[in-house]
Amino acid sequence: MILGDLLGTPVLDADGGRLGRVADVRFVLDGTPHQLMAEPRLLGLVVGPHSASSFMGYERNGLTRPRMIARILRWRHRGSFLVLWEDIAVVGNRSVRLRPGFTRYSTALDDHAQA
Amino acid sequence: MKRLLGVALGILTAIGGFVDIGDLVTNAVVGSRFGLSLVWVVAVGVVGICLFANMSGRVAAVSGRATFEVIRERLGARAGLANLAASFLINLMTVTAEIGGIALSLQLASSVDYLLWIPVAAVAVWLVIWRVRFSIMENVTGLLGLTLVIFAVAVFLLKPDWGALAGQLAPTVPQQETFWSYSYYAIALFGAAMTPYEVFFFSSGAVEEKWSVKDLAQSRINVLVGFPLGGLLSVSIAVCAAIVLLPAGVSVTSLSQVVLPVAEGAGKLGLAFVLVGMVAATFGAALETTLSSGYTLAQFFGWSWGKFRRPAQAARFHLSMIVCLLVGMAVLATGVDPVLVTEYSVVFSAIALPLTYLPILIVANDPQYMGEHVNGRVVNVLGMVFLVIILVASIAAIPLMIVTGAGS
Amino acid sequence: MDPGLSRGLEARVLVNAARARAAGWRARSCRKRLYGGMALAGLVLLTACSGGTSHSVSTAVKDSSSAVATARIALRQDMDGKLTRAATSTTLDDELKEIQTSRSTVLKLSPATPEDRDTQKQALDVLDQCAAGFATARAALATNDGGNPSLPDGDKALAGAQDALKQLEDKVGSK
Repeated sequence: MILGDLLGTPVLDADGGRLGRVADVRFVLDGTPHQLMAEPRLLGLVVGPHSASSFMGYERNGLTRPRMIARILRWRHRGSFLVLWEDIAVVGNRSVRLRPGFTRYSTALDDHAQA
Repeated sequence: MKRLLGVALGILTAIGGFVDIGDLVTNAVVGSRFGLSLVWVVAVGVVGICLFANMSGRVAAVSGRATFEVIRERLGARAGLANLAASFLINLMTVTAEIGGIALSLQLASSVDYLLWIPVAAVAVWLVIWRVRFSIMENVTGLLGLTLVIFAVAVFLLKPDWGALAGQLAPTVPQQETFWSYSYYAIALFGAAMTPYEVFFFSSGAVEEKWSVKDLAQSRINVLVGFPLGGLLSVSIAVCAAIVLLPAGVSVTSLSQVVLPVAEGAGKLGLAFVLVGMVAATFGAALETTLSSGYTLAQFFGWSWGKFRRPAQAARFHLSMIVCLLVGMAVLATGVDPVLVTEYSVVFSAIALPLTYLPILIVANDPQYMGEHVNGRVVNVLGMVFLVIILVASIAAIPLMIVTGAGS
Repeated sequence: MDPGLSRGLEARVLVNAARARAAGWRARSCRKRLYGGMALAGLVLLTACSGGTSHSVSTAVKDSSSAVATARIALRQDMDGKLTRAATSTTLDDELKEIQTSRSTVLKLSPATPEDRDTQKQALDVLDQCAAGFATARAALATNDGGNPSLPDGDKALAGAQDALKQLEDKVGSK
C-alpha cells in the first residue's frame, strides 16, 4: 500500500462513527542509525474532521506569521488530532477504523523539542 | 569600484529584462484603447513584483531552495502536482508567446514572414541555453533590451499635450469602453507586470549564481531600482500608444502597430532601436521562460538542474526544455496569432498568481528555513494585501473573460 | 512509550525530512482541478457566445476601421521617410489580414431578416473596398518610387475606404 492512497481516507471510530479523514502521516526516527539515516518508524495518523488538505507547515507552534494565514489554516484544521499506530484497528481500502478507547493527541509540533 | 559596476550592471539588466512580449502587447493595447486610465495598475503590479521577487530571492539565497522545491515541500505531492501542471502550462504558453514575439519582431525588421523565423528563433534560444553562461546570457539580453528606452524618448519627441495626458491618468472608464472590459484589461496588465515566471526565474537564478546572504543587499537594490524603472518603461509604451494610436481610432492587434508611435516620434533611427530592443527583450524572456519550464519540472521531480551543471549531468532538465521549445514551435506552426497567445498568456498568468505567491509568502515566514531572515512586519502586511489583490484578480479573470469575449 | 517524547522526536524528523527534500510521503488531495474546469467552461462559453448580425457587423467594421487607420499612418510615415520598407509592408500585411478576418466573419453570418441581409451585403461591399484599397497601397509599395500606382494613390484609396466604413458604422450603430 502506498501512503498516498491513505491520505484522504475516511477515519471511523470503533462503532463506525465518522471522525474525519486522514490528513497526514507522522513518522519518528528513533531506531539505531544505519549508514546515513535512521529508519523512519510510522508513529500514527493525523485525522482532520474538516479538511484533509495540507497544514502547509502550520502544524508547528513556532509558525505564527503572517497571522491571517496562520489563523485561517489553523481554523481549517480545527479539531484535528493524532492517533498512534497502536490505536488503529484496521486499515482498509475505503476506511481506517480505530480501536475502542483510542487517545487523541495534539497535532501541534513544538519548536523547542527539535533543537 | 568593481562593486559599483556590479550594482549598475544589475540595475540595468533588471530594467532591460523587465519588459517582455506580454508587457509590449498589453501596454500598447491598453494605451490605444484606454489611454492612461490603467497606468495605476502597472504601478500596483510593479510594487507586487518587487515584493515577491525580493521574497523569493531571499528564500533562495538563505535556504538554497528555489520556488518549486518549496511549493512541492509545502503543498505535498498531489496538490503540488496540480500547481505544477497549471504553472507549467501557463509558462509553456508564455514560451510560445515569446518565441512568436521574436519572430514577429524579426519580420518587422526584414519583412520575411514570421512563420519562417520561428524555427530560427527556437534554435537560437536552445543554443544559448545549451552553450552560453548564465551571467553572460542575462547581461547581454538585459543590456540590449535597454534600447527599448526609445519608447520613453519617443514620448518626449512626440511633444504631447502634457496637461491632457496627465488628465487621462485618473482611473475612469473611457466612453467607448465598458466597465467589464476595463476590468478585464486591468487584470491582463496586472498579470503582465507580475508574471509568475519572473519569480521562478529569479529564485532559480539566485541558486544558479550561488547567491548567499551576503548578496542579498545587491539583489534588493537591483529589484527595488531596476523593476520600477522597468515599469516606467512599460508605461511609456502605453503612453506612446495613447498619444498616436488612440486619437487615430486604432486599437492594437498586432506588433507592427506597437512600433508605429516610435517611428512617428523618432523616425527610422528610433525604429532601429525599438526593433533591436524588441528582439532582445523577447529573446531574453524566451530564454527565461524556457529555463523556467525546465526549472519548475526539475525542482518538482527532484532532477538535477541548472546551467551551472554540464548538460550531460542535467540531462532531463535540458531535455524537458527542448521538448518545451518543440511544443511552442508546433503551436505557432498552426498559424495561431502570437499576439492572441500573448493576450491569453498574461490573463492566465494572473489566474495562476496565487499558486506561486502563497507558498513563497508562507515559507518566507518560516524560521526553520529563514532563520533571522524571515519577513518583517511591513513586508508581511504588504504581502497579505497583495495576496488579497491577487486572489481577487485570479477569481475575477475567467468570468470577465466570458463577459467581455476576451476583451474584444 | 511516552507520546510526548515521540512527538519531540517526530518534530526533529520533520525538520530533517524538509532539509533532505524527502517530501514524497506528503501527498494531498487536489482542489485546483476546479481552476481547470472553470477555464474550460469559460472557453466553451466564449466560442458559443456571439451576438446577432448587426452586432457582428459593427465589430467587424470597428476592427476594419482600426486596420485602415493603421495602414494610413504607416503609409504617411513611409512617405515622410520615418518607416522602413520592411516595416511598412509588414504593417500592411498585418492589417490586410485583419480585414480578411472581418470579411470572413461577416460572410459566415446567417441573417434571418431581409434587413440583416441588407446590412451584411453592404458590409461586404465596404470590406471589399477596403481590401481593394490595401491592394493599391501594397502595389504602390512594391513599384519603387514614382511608379504607378504611387503611395499617395494608395493613401487615397484607403481614405475612400475609411469614409465608407465611417458611414456604415454610423448606420449600423444607429440601429
